Amino acid sequence: MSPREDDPVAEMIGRVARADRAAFRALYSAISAKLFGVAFRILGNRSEAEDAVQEAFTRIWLNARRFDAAKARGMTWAIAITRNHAIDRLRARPAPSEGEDAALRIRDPSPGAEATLIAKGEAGRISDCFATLEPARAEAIRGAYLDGFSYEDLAARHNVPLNTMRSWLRRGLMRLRECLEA
Amino acid sequence: MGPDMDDRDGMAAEYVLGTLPLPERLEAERLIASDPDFASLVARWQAHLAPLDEAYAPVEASPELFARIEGRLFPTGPAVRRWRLPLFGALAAGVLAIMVAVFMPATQPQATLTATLTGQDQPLTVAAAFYAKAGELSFVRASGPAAAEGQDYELWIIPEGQSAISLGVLREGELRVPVADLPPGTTLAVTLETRGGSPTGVAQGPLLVATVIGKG
Repeated sequence: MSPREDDPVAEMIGRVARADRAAFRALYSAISAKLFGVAFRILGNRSEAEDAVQEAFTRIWLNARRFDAAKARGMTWAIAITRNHAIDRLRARPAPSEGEDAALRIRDPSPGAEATLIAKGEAGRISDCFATLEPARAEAIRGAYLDGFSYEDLAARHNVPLNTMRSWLRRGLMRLRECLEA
Repeated sequence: MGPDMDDRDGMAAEYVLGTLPLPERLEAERLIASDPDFASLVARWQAHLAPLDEAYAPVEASPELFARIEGRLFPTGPAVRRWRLPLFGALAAGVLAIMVAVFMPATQPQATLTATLTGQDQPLTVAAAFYAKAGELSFVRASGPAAAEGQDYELWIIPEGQSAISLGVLREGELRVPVADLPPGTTLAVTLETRGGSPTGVAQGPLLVATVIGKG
């Protein structure tokens, strides 16, 4: 069975790689809301999120030939492009001015709703593995990945020193990988 | 394998997680493009963490966004105007969108300032870092495709009010050139040239990205 049969997004990216503009339009219809959701959550404003999505689709068009459907699902690849660019933009913002508390700048996600969402489908396994982590560390990893929180943001949010946060995350990731690869 | 990550795997993990500061992210992106072993470490972490993507709720973008994207990728207007030196005149005429250099705290060893070369509707971005102590200017392609077969990206430095001086061509990896000083008002620019760079020492191809060192 071709790896694309159950992955319509990968199939569209394959056609985009052959410079098929109708496929590009179809791909946009299929995934732009998801990609905009990613950029909007990380960047926190519509105008910057639209710029990020524009850049993401530009990269998708230019790099579609490099996509390998045997290695990743199409949606995963497109989201990674969007996330990486949105986080680059976030990190390129000027540092907060003196006295501005990093914790004040960050939005408050609702971990309850999130845990429910990722308990479904393909995310079931990672959700089980997250459950083996200490709750604060699992939340820090989720916050970093989903909201683009920096070490500074997370350290302020969890009220721990920066280096402590960094080793929390590294150890948490190792634990997560051992669980996922077990 | 011990419980600790080695540095490269740690960097790959932190790149995917998103927690690295910008200079380290750009370094990771450079490695992904140039080092297949590092790229596969990143791919492995990406595969592990991708199930979290389900938590992103879809949000509709504005209805005009697709037209903007198509307009950027498939321009229907007249062919992009070629520009010739003096570059500074073209810049001053407002032909280009210039992003003023962003001064950042020196997060890399001895980096005195960093700047990003960008252009309007241009996927290419080039990160520049100036090391005053070493007298070196470093460039790396931060995003966008490599130059097409038979072409090269050529870097130029334009002291305020003077003509452009070639700094060489930028391919994969970092380009470091000796530059004694980078005063405010200096322009850094990239043009698209035939392979090996402009044979005349004067820019022939289109200007892609540029930045003017800020006066802040």
